[in-house]
Order: sequence, then C-alpha cells, then structure tokens
Amino acid sequence: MDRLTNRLKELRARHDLTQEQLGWAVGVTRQTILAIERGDYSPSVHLALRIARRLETSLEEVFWLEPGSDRLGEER
Amino acid sequence: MNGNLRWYYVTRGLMVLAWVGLMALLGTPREIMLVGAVLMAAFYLWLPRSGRYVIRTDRPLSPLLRDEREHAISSRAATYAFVAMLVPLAAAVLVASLRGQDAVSTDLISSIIAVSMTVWFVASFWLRRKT
Repeated sequence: MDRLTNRLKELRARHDLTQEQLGWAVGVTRQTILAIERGDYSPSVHLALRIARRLETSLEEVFWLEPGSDRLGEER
Repeated sequence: MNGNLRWYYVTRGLMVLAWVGLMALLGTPREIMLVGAVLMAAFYLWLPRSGRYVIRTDRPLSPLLRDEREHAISSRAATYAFVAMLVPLAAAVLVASLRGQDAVSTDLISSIIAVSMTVWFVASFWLRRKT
C-alpha cells in the first residue's frame, strides 16, 4: 500500500517555525505536528491543506505518496 | 497563556469549590475533601499543559479543544472499550440463559464495566504513544 510521506520538518525549519507555532497556526497540538513529521499520523485533507497554506507552498510539496507494496504483497 | 486562560482557571476554581461544598453537605471527612480538591485542582492545572488540547482563547470558558488526532484516538479507544464490554456482556447473558438464570449478577456487570474502562484508558495511552 502507498505510504503518505512528507517533508514537513524541513519546510517548517525553512520558515523558522517551531512545532508548537505551526500547530497553533493550523489549529492542532504540537504532538500532532510531531506525529505527522514522524509519519505516524496521516492528517486529514483539510489539515494538510492548512499546513501547506501556512508554509506557503502546494500540498504536493509537503505531502506525497511513496509507492509501497500492493495488496498482494508485491513491491512496485 | 495564563492571562488568556484566566476565565478557564476562574471557572474551574469555582467547580472545585462547588465540589467541596457538595462533599461538605454530604458529610465527607475533611481529609478526603482536601485530597479530592487538590487532585481536581491539579488536574485542571495540568490539562492545558498536557499537550492533548488546542487552546482557543476566543472561547474563554471552554478554551481546550481536541484536535483531529485526539478525536481519532478517543474514537478508536472508545471502540475498543465498547467491544471489550459488549462481548463479555453477550457471553454472560448467553451463559445465564443456558443455565436457566433470569438475570446476570450486578457484580459481574460491574466487573465488565470496570474492564472496559481499563481498556479505554490503556488504549488511549497506547494509541497516543503509537499514533
């Protein structure tokens, strides 16, 4: 299955934002930003768009799908 | 942050005082009232710092809101707890009916509820670390 990947940490650092500041700006907790950066939590489309807008970039610049194994267990 | 949360602290302080008043009316020993009030106050002081809530200062009386991840965690933990309650309860009813009993004992139901509450707490903790 495709895995949602991101470069949120890099873009956040480029904007000189802490996790707490970004979280506050997009209406989530610091823990949620941390979980997204680690790839442990997949944000809703709504939140992903808010993050991209705050980082002044497009959604695809922040999040993308990393090809993974399909349902039959084959690597693409 | 503290200034923005003034009304949160004021209202929660009043809730602690109301609880103490209620306990006093019920004749609860002072030591228990004191420990309970300190625990409640500590809980309310800890909540905004717990990292579980988004602080919305435009809502002075209820400024702590769950974000989408917290909603997802709570929802999944509640599902686990519901299953942990429903399956044993159904089994207890089935066993009782097979034995020809008219009712399930309240002790057993209390135990099942306690187990499901435990499942909820453990699942919340575990999901918060994992998710």
